[in-house]
Amino acid sequence: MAALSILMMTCFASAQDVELRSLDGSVELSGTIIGFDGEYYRIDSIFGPLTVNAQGVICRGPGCPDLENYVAEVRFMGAPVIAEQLFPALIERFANARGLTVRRQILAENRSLFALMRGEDETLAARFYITATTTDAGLQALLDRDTDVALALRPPDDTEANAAEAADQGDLSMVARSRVLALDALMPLVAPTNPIDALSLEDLARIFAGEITNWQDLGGPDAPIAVHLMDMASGHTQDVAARIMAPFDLRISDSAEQHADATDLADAVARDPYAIGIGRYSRTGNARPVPLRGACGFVQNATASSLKSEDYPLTAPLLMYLPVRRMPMMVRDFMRFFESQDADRVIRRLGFVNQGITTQPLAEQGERLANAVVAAGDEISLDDLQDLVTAMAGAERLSTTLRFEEGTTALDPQSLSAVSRLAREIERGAFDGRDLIFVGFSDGQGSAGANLRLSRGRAEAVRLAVIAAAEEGDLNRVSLQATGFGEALPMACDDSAAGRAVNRRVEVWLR
Amino acid sequence: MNISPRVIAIATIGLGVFTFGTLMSEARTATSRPLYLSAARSLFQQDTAPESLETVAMSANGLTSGGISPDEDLILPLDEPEPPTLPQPGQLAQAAEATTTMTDQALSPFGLPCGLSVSTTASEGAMVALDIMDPCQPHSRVIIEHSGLNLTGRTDVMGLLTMDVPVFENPAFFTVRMPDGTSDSSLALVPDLDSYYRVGLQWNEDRALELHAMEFGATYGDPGHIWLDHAGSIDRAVSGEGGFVMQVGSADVDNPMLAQIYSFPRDTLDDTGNVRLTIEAPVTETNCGQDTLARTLELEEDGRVSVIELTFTLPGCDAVGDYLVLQNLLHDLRVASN
Repeated sequence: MAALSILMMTCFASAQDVELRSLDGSVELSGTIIGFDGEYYRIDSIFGPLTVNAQGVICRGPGCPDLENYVAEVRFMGAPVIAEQLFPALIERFANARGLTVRRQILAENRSLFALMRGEDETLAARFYITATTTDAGLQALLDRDTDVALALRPPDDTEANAAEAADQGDLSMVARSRVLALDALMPLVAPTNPIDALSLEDLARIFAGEITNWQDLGGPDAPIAVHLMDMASGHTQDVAARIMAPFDLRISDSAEQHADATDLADAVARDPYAIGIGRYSRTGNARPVPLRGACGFVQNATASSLKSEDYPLTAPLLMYLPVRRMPMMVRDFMRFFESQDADRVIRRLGFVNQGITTQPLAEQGERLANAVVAAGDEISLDDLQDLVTAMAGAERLSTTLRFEEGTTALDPQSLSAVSRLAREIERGAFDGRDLIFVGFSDGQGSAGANLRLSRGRAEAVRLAVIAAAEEGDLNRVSLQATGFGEALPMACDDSAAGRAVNRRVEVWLR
Repeated sequence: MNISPRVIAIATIGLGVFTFGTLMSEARTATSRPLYLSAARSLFQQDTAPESLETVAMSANGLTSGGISPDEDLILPLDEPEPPTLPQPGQLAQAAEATTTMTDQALSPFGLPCGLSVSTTASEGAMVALDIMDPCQPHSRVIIEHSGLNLTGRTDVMGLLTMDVPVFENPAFFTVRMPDGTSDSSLALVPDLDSYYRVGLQWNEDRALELHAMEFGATYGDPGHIWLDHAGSIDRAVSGEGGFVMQVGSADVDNPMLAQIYSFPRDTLDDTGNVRLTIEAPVTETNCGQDTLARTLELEEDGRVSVIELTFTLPGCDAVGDYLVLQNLLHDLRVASN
């Protein structure tokens, strides 16, 4: 009996292993420590789990973590282009801006440990583990809690999203869960000596399905086409299958030569005048990008500005998916760092496109107006065009352009990120004293009247979303208006899903 | 050329936890670089003030600017108010004041006064010619620090060491440390640094790492495959033809630190494209299975140097004869024609 009570006493003592007392002594809590993120204690108390700011309390007891020597730790896993190309440089820049130095330890199985050391006393401030696998594996590891953050080249598909919900990992489509790190795009590549000037998405799909096998079928020389792709298991190739092949009900043929590295792919293509590959905007190596041409004649080049505005139909942002739980402070700082100008510079240097907002005078967009004239006819009248031209006069277009999932008012991930960026700029006062006009456009499917209403509705929805996101901004200093022009200013052909997605948009004009 | 079978193994190399002991502590000295930089800056901005010159030029044994050394030209202030009629006594007196502790003049076996002196001169290719002299420390291990780069050198029988180093900053600041604890610094203007892309790979111990550059889609053995055995030249870079690689540092000392540095001209003749960079190492009887400490240096567009310390283990001794190839540790150079 005596032994038992001693045992119970011991249990009790270890269960109450911390005591948190407020600085003025008025509040006292005791319980078991569940976690500490460098900023907040999480304890299991008699009131249930509680989160307590460490700055406001004094911790006593054996369970108290070491405040001074706390080491933040986080695991990232997923797409190699992010894990191996983007992250090391960003971590170095992030560390440098905080007076930390980086030590990278290369571990087995494509894993690296980046240790961030404090300069003054050589102590460890954070451990970032980064594993280069695939988008699939990263998202799966997020479900299995084998990683804290998944690095992805495509959004989770329905199966993955459902699995996440089932695994109690929350809704992966939520804004708070995803971040757009940088912009990139899928891009057809050929050797500099290859004469082809543009390709339609359908031609591209048929080449990679093995239906078009000779350059002669595309108006070129009589020579077989050598086809190059990234590994079938890569997020890149899955994105190709979903966005280039699936709209034409085609599948990737297995005759393609597969590569593990996007620059290897580009250089293999560059060496063979009869080769074609689908590479990435950021990794064109020594190959030549081929613009996309719609059946109606629009030609789309992948450029930094057409990626920022998603005017290029195969824009493919680099994504990061976060866990539901709170991350250590140093890690959250790192996430915020992605929105900084320092990070934007690194992103640009590495060949990716950053999300910094740029402007372009609408006057320089004569080509777009020409498109509008071409598209005018039965449903778009001269009056409509005159309205459009009047509205465009003297305005600039921001690179920020919002695009919608087909048949919905739901914004795609890049657009969600763009709303947040625009809101931060408004809060910063970047547009004080000026007019921001949200201008909606639709694709050409359905009646012109319905499309006009739809485009205005979407513009208003975006305006409200920006106002909601700019909660710290002074909205008296900037005027936010919404308008719409329906199908009046197409940028791509309406004959493909990708083209319609490009046309269905809300632009932001600045006056 | 003869190409060994290559192991494309970024991280399939096994690796345990290991420590670096003295190696690491040496490498750490470079982390205090901001300090040197600020010293460099003050020197640079006030190079007419004799006090600041003395601060920098004074080595730990205080003899740098003293004595009757015939090559004090770089160290002594040019606007020294002393009349030229009495050069030697005047300078001697001043040196004695500045150093106080040294009363009698120590001389080397060759009769030269002891003391460390360092001078730097910029040369073509964004390089600096480094002249290090300490007559009383012949055959000694010298540590040279520059912008995150740590190198070892060895003085000759006279205590002299010269080395040409492609630099990473302008003005280029060098600190030289001797085994007896003395150190000295020097600064050189390198006006053509803006004309180059530059990356470096530095390693500790005898690891035989190699920096390989594949210019504009070149493959192994092509003219555009630049590495130590086909290193290109400064002339090649100056004329806009392509890049060059240089190995710097001496392995002829204990705990050597060497580096290979690749430079590519920003203005090329006509090409636009990509230069891929890999780190490779032949797996040999000496380096197999060894833990390796290295660091990469990349000169960024804004003049900043991105430094990442690297640790990895070379493949085991059953892989002797193979090549370790580390991709993606250095970013490709994206060359745009203007």
